[in-house]
Amino acid sequence: MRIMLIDDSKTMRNIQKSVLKQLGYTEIEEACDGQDALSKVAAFNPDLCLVDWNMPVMDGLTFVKTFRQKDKSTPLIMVTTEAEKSRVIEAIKAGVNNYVVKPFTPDLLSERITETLAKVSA
Amino acid sequence: MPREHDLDAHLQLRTDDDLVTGTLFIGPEAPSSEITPHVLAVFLDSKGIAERALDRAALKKLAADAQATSGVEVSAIVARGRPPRHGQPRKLEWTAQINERIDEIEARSSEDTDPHQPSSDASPEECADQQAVDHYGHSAFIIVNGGDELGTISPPDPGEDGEDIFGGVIPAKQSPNPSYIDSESIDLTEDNRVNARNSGHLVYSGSLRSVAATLEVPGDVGFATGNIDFPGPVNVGGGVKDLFRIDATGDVTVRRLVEAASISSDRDVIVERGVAGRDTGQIRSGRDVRAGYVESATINAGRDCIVQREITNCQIVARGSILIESGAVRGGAMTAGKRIEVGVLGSAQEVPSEILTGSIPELDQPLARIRVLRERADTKRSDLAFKLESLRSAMDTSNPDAIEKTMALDFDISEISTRITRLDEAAERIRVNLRKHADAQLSVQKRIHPGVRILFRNCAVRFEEEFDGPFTLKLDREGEPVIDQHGNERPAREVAVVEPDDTLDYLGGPDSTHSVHSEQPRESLGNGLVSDEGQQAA
Repeated sequence: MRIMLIDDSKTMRNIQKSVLKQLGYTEIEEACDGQDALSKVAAFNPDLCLVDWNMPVMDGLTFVKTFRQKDKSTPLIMVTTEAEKSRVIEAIKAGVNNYVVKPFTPDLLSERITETLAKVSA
Repeated sequence: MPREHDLDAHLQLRTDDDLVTGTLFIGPEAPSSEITPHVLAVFLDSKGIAERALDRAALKKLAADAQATSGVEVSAIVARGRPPRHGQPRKLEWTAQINERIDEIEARSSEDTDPHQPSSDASPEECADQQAVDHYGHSAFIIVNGGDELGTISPPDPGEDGEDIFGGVIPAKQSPNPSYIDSESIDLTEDNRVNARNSGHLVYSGSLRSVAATLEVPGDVGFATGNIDFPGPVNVGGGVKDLFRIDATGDVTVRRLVEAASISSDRDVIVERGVAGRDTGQIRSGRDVRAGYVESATINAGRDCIVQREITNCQIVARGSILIESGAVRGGAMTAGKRIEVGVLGSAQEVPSEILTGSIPELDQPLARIRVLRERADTKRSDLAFKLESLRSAMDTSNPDAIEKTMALDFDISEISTRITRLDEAAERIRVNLRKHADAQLSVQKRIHPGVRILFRNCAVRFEEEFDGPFTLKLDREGEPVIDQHGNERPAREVAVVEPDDTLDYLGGPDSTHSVHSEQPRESLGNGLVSDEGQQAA
């Protein structure tokens, strides 16, 4: 399974990458903002994206809206903070399949990924 | 006819054993006027001599001699057969490389073999050249491996049959494979190649060419032989001189003295007389080391080190036991994975000696490394936990940067905890192996002197006064050193000074400290091997 991590923080990407590797996912692509991600999705063709909300250049919500214009099925998990939690509905309307609130534990992230993939494949 | 008959009485044909020549004798009473070449030829024909064997010229000359010298016996070889040409033995030709080595070795053996004594007529430049040559690396032996091509052998020559003077065939003798090639160790292939069947030392002269699986050095290993690298056992009839080296995969046996030299064997090393290493001599064995005595040398034995008389000022490491049952140990340091048995330990002059039993360097060293890494990781984890706590207590939960920082710290702490778990698992595997293979025990038959320090894994024991044996010093189930005399055990501290010493307390990691005074029993013994994971984790 190919997973794309979209986050402007390298530390966060590393944490997510480590969790994913522990879960056995090794095909991972990284993008530092929404625009960078859009330029890579065609080549990488992800099966799942973890999208941070706050990013420079293009934020997570704009990325989701743009991405969903062409791709309706690839599952997207929004990574938010407590402050953005109130806007989760907006994100779901835009097309995200699930969300995880920072700070999260590796267990919680892996739970969200498993849950999302199960929902999509059901 | 009677006259011919009469003449026959004066003629005699003699042949050699092989019937290849016939000699005709004409007696002194023979009627010389009747002797003609024709008459003689008729006589020889009557004896069965083949026509083609007759030497007509010789007959003619003999007849003339008989006529000229009446009253004297004359003779000549008058018939000649053809001797056989026997098959030739097959000839062995070494490869160019082996020939070159033979030439080198023979040239060296004809020179003065001590490079420190250059020939008196050598120029200063020649002397300098001689000094530049590595005389230690010049081996006097040709070492080959099984399957190596040694040379070629000439094709067989069947020879040619001969013919005797009566026309009979004299068969040529067939030559078998050369008897001077040892077929056990040298293979002659159908295409006339000569290969070594086994690894060893090429014996290229003498009555038998062979590849000897054991290298026999009749005298010393020194300038005459050079260093020895041999894929099998080595027997040295003499000793091993200063700075020379023997490296063998088989047993190494030295009859006389090993000086400040180096011996390494994958199996046993036996030095019948002794080792006088002058602080640089080294012996390494994959299995046992046995010696008459050892002085100022370093010994590293894969199993036991057994010395008959004494060990003086040596560094000895044995994965098994060190046994000098009736002998003495003075000075130096000894480490044994299992028991140490000695007659007298130390000296009246209180020469410092250090004895460590129950330690296997290959296990203790990684364990020590793990302990250091474990301590570092623990410190790091505590630091990070403190930082995380401080950050959380003052954190604005709506600040994404602060959230990310706490997550990063959490992540690092989790990574370090995983690493610590792995280190602990690796350490435990090594401990299990140490318990299986190590056994801390010192037996003294006659006496121990002050100046000797006996290190166990968790403590050091030293005697302030002489103490007579026989006794055994060991750790009891609680890890306390005890002295066993004739089956009666008592705490060692009753007769010696027992000090906690964690220098070698590799077993006592941060999570399993174990002191001399601890009331906790030692961890239960287990079996099992330390896997590579342990080493990797370390």
